[in-house]
Amino acid sequence: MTRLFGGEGLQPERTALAWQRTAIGAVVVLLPLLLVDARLGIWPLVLLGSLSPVVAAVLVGRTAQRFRDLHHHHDRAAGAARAAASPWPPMRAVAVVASLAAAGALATALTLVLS
Amino acid sequence: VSAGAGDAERAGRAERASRGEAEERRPVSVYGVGDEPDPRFTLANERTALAWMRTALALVGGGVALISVASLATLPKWSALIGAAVCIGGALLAWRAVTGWARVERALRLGQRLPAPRALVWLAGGVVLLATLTLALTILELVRR
Repeated sequence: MTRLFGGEGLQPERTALAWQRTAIGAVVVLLPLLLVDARLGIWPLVLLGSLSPVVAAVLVGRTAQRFRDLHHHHDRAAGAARAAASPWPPMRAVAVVASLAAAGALATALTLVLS
Repeated sequence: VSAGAGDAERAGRAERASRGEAEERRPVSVYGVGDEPDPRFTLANERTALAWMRTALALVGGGVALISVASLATLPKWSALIGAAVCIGGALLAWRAVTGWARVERALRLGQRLPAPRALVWLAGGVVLLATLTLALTILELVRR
């Protein structure tokens, strides 16, 4: 049987696709909250939520880097260093997005309850 | 001879690059210990962590959706608080995914037994608790009307 990518088979591609799905989810999760805050006129939260595209851009950039790392995983001569890269930075970026969304959601919910 | 020298130079470059990469790989608590595991296992660990991340994002998305509906429709105010609680649970789960990845990667590098997925129990318990709370509050709301 043919060994693809030095024995890892299609695992790098599957992992890269998992990163893409996660990045898409992280980018869209804050959008409904932004709309609600704009409708309720909670402008500080809209401003805070507007930071989300910045975080999302960083995340997408890091995901693209991870995608390249994984894609070059099989190319030992050119990509030995890349292959050893860590998924830690983009993972933290996703967790930061989730935390930002949770903080915004809590503030919006409290505004709704207290109004 | 020149081809051999070129190979040696390339190998040296790759080794230096690998060494430099190993020095700057973060977190040090993971990459500073043990040996490089089988790439298949480490990639599987990464995908598992990403699956947890997407579960966390789904929770946050669900909470945001609940708050959005609560703000648009005339839903009881507690529904927004339930949504906020779901969002906070999602954020905690996202950080748990990050630390869980690090724990498993460390165990792989050290050749130790993998840690048990205790977050599954917490997730199931949290979802059941919130669902029960939502059901109880809904019944209470219906009885009041």
